[in-house]
Amino acid sequence: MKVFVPGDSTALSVGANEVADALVKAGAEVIRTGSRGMFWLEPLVEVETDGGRVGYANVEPSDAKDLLNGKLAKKSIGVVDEYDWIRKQQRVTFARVGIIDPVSVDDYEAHGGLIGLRKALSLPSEQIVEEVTESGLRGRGGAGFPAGIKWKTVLGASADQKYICCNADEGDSGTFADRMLMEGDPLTLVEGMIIAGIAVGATKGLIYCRSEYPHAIAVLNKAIKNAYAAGVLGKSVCGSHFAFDLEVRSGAGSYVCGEETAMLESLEGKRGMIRPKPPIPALSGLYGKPTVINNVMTLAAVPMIMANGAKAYQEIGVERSRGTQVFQLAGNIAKGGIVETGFGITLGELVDGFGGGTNSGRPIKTVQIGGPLGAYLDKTSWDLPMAYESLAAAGGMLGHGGVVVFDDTVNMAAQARFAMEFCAEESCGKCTPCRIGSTRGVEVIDKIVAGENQAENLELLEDLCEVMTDGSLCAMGGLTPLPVRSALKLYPADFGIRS
Amino acid sequence: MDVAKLKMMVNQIDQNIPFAGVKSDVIATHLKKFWTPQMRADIFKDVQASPDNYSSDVREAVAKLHNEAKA
Amino acid sequence: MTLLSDPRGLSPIRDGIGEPDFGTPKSTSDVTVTLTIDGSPVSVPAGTSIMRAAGESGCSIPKLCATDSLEPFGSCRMCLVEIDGRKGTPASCTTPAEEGMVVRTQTAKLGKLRRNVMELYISDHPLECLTCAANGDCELQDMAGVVGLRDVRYGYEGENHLGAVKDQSNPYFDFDSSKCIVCNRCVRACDQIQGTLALTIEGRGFNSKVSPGGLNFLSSECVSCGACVQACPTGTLEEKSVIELGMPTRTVQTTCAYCGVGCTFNAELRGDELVRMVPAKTGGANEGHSCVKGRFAFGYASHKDRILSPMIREKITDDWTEVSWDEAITYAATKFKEIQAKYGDNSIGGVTSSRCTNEEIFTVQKMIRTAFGNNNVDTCARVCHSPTGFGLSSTFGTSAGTQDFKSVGKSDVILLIGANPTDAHPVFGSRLKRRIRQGAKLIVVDPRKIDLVESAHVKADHHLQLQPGTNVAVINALAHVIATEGLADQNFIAERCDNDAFDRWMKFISLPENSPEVVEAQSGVPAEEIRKAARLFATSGNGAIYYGLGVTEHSQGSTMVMGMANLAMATGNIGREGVGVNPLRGQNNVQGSCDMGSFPHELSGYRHVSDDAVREQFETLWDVKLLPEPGMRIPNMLDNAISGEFRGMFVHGEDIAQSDPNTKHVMAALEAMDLVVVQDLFINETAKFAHVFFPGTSFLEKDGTFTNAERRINRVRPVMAPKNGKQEWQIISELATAMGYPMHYDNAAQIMGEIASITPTFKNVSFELLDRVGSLQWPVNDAAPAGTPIMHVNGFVRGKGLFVETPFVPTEERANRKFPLLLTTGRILSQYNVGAQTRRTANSTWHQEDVLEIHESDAQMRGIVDGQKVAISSRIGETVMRAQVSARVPAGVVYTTFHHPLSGANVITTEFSDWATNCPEYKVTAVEIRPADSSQDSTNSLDDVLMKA
Repeated sequence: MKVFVPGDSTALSVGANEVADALVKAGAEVIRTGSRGMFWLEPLVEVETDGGRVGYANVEPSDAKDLLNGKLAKKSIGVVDEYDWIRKQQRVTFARVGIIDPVSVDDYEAHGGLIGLRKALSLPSEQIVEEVTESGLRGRGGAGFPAGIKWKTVLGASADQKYICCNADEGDSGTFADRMLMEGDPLTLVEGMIIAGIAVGATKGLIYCRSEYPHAIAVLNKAIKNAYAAGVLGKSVCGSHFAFDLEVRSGAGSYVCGEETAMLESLEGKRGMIRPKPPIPALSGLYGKPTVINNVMTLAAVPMIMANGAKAYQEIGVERSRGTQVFQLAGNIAKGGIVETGFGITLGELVDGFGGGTNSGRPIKTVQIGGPLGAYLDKTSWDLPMAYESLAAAGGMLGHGGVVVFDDTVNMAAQARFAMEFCAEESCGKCTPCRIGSTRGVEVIDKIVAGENQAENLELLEDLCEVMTDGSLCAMGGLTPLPVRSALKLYPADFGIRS
Repeated sequence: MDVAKLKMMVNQIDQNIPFAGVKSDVIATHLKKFWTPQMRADIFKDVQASPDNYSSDVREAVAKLHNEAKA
Repeated sequence: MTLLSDPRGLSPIRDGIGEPDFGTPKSTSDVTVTLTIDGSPVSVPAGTSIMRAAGESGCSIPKLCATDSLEPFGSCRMCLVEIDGRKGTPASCTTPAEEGMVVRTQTAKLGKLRRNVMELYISDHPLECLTCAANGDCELQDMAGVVGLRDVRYGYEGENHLGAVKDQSNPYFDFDSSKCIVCNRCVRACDQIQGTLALTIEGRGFNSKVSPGGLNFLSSECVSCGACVQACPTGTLEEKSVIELGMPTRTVQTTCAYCGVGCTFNAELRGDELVRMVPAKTGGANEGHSCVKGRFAFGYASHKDRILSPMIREKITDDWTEVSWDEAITYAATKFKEIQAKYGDNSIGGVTSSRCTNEEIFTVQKMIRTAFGNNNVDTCARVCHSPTGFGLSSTFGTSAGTQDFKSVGKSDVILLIGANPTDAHPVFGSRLKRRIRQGAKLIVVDPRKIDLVESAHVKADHHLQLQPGTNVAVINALAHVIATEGLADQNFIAERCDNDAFDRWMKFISLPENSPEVVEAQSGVPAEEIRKAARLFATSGNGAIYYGLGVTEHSQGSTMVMGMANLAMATGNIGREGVGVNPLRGQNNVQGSCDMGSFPHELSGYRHVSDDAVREQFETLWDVKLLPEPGMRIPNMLDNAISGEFRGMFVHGEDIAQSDPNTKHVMAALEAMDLVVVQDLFINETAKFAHVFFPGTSFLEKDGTFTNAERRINRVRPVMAPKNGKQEWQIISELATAMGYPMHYDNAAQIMGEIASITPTFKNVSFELLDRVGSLQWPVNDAAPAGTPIMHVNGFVRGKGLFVETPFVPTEERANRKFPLLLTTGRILSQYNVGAQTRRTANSTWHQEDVLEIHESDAQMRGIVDGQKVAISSRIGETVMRAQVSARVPAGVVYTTFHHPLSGANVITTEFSDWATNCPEYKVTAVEIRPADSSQDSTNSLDDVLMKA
């Protein structure tokens, strides 16, 4: 019997390996896949049937025999593809995650892989760039810069060497989409990077993956090795005259290396510090050469765009937020995991609809979107469509699409303090507002909470937020005031402020 | 002056000096340019005394200088 | 609060002596862009930062992390501006000016931002401006005033670095981390300017701090160049002299007197006391950079060992008697005249000093040619770069390097031969490293693995590690590859060179004896490595050759110089930026001493004494008859002293007893003379044989010019009055006058006037012009009124470039069974030549003694361990040193420096010398090494040598 057991870190953390071992011992043919992204069901084991793959939730090693004997109906969720939580999503980037063997080029190709690449190989560079531009794909790392425009700049730059750098330094709290894709369908990323290379004339790619993802790095390396063996990477990509080499570099435990210029410094073997822009990396990036820097999610969207055409992708979404977004539900949430859907879904649908409220069962107090430097939102934002424009208008940001839920026991002054503390901990130390300001921020918030010269210190905190927002060199210091200000605005009582 | 040293010097020049045309002329010019009259006189004497210690080019060069000085 | 109660704006002291700082480097673009800054149109070269554009137009934007010697960094956030049509407040240092841009630098919003940033800085900074050594020279203090910070609302109880411990390990400067604002200027200066990369930032966020790596500055990779101290905007890195003496109040611009780079410095004084030497950004050679010697090691000028009164004695075994100047001069003049009366006009002579000014040198050679009435004048260039003059004048027509130092910034491939610039010419070494980090290729030809072969961010593409003495073979092999593989620049050769000579050379160089395969056996360099290096040099774009004494101090030194000239011509690498053949000269004024007519066969400007027309000009000017025949070279003088024909010598600022080869022979010669007059700062080894001692002046007291290795004439201005009471040219003039030739000058400018009047390459040079333009590279004449940074641009000075056949004739100094190792010599960063100056400064902290580098296998074979005393013997003599087992030298080669008289390196060097110029063969001596037996082998003092001699 063919059984699929996730090898994803999330599943592993709840015993997926032990389950897989037990199933092998019980005589099953076990195939390791990525995760479907329904964390509350892990380990979610799937059994191949004529009607599709049937899922069994929270399987334990002791369930192995029963599962193989068809005696585990109590844990069955039915055919996974028809499970409501999955069915209601629009999985484009994550279409193969949880389904295929992540490192098998054959499996990848059998599930629609390499179509986009083959198409790209038949097109002139300009046309690939045009296609990506048309699709409306924007950078999924947080800044939302149109990918096609960035690629066009790199294409137009002349140099003896250009690079494609994938930013896989996924450091935001409550985010895991990059990791899950790299563990569940790394070849999509590989394909996306090769297409980018063909599009801009780059023959060398690097994936900068955070060191906290050893499992993802291992899977990536295995997939890359197989891709070389299959002739997808190397001197002649899929038999073409085009060459592309790819390697994985491990980060060194710094949040700020997720900022693109600090990432470049780190890739060059230097201290991970922000570079001023200009020059933009598209013109002077890695080793001073023109460089495409895109997030994992951005590059992983490319094969589908090439395979299905820009139009299909462009038709999804709202306003200038086109295509799908891979939301990550985390924090105090009943049903955490991956929700890939078109832009425009409301916050309420995400948190209550997919997420099912808090895990503690207590009322939701606040939601933080876009990582530790994202704004806090409360229930008044439940109808807010999740898109770049609408979130910005509401004083927040989408960031990398992480949604972290808190129940009513959270103290928002502590959260605001944490934002400053996080900044103080992770600041590269280059610019003054971030380097000194974050430490002073913690101190000023403490004074406010202690009721010390509250009015003066509130004004000082506001001045500090202003100098950090307007004066910081990069988004790290520049965004730290976002959670601070939103917490202060929505929950003044938590700061001991009597209105 | 120590004639042994002058001998060493002139033979080193003879071995090393680049030339186009008549080598003895080139050596003579070099000695005229850089050697004091006394050194040239001393080497002339030694060349006269023991010609076998010198190449024909050196002998010629030194003789030319001697004749020039006399003239 | 002391800091903020007195916002002072820009410090008046700084304004008085500092140089303007435009925040970011100058752009060299030819395209001009016009933008509007605060309502006024400003035009600047494209690529100029908004900050610099504003500064040049007279409106300065506050800044802390920006300084125009470093690439913009964008960290302090003081320089934020508003730009129409752009989001936010970009930093003006990192944003380039663009056509049509509308920029506002002063708005209420910006004012508040800057004040709030400053408030953050001061919340973590000691409040002791008035007692801080940097008070008045602190950009943080200045900027706090500029932005009008009055109050720090955060208070001072928060987290801070005020308790950081001072690092006082470096002998010249302190590092007080509590005052650091983490602007990274020191780290960037160490990276970008010096290229040592010794400094880094440790920790991150609030815990970021500057760190030298390791325990402290002294134990780190730091080379004490001072670039970090220079770059520091606060009192964090501060000269100890400023801490001790106080902030200087005035400045005198002058020129360093150490190596041939010739760095321009601002000597900063407080009253009449010299506080510090600060490299000048306007300095043509150094452009704001310095090394540990020029920057810090000037204390010797006021060292207690200095002799300030003239002294005489009858016999060298007598004690010295201090006498008046008149008495000393009369004594010397009378003695010289007596000798001449008894032994003939030719029985005396003198040596000029490459440490002294052009004006001093000119007067010395003039005194010899007039008052002495002969041409027995020579210079210490004899023992270093005389082959350069011979070789380059033969091939190109000029006895000097072809480029300015800046040129290396345009080189694509650099061939470095027998030079160790990071130690011996550090400021040029830094330029070279910068270019290599930018991607230029490097080929090192040296028996020793010098730092440039492999160090931080620098790796030579090829290291041709040849046996000492085989330079010519290797240069011929490189040329052979270029000639036989069709890599020569035929157009250049056809157009610019003597084609008959080229044809002859082609035949010669194509001979199999010059092939890399044959040369491999002679030099030990793998043939394939030579071939690859030759191809790289010929095909990489601009190819430049730089070389040092490792080329000249050989019995084939002159041949080698011509070999390099051949290679440069064959590859078309002459006559533009980025190329050329460039000597790295040892002493500050070697070039000048050669230019000034210090050689026995030449008058100033390299004109032979036999040229009747030239001689006539001098005779008319000087009102004296000049001899048309060459005089004696130093070795001739010494030989003739031993044979008794040469009896009196004037030695000007050179320690021939220590620096010339075969010490025993030199000392015997000195001892044989009736009168040795030494003019110097200290009682040096030569002065031990002197009968008259004239105290000289240090460079801080001199008024004149030095000419560096790029032919740059730099002004030397007196920082203080002569401690000995007289300028050196005055002493010379008085001695000449006392000997019966009246010589008088009112000032040094007059001497330069005379030099210019009679030397075509100096025709338009004057102190007035130099003071106006800073420096000039000769020729400076009507054809080139602004001087000549690059030579041979439109044609060679001699007309057509001359290819010269350069057969390899091995030296007779060879390793043999008795002396199986080859000794070669060099310099170390912190010390200078015979060490007379640097050994009298704290530079000795880094190098207390000369050591002998020896390969592990050679050491093992002889039972020698690291740090052990060993005896080094050649067929000439023996000395004792400490051994250092090192991978820098290959087996069969040993290496040492010659900075300490006790090492007696020249006790063992031989009498072999360059065939054309008699430049001694210091770089090859066959030696044997054995463990020193402590009972027998004590370190030789020169006195011991004398006793044995």
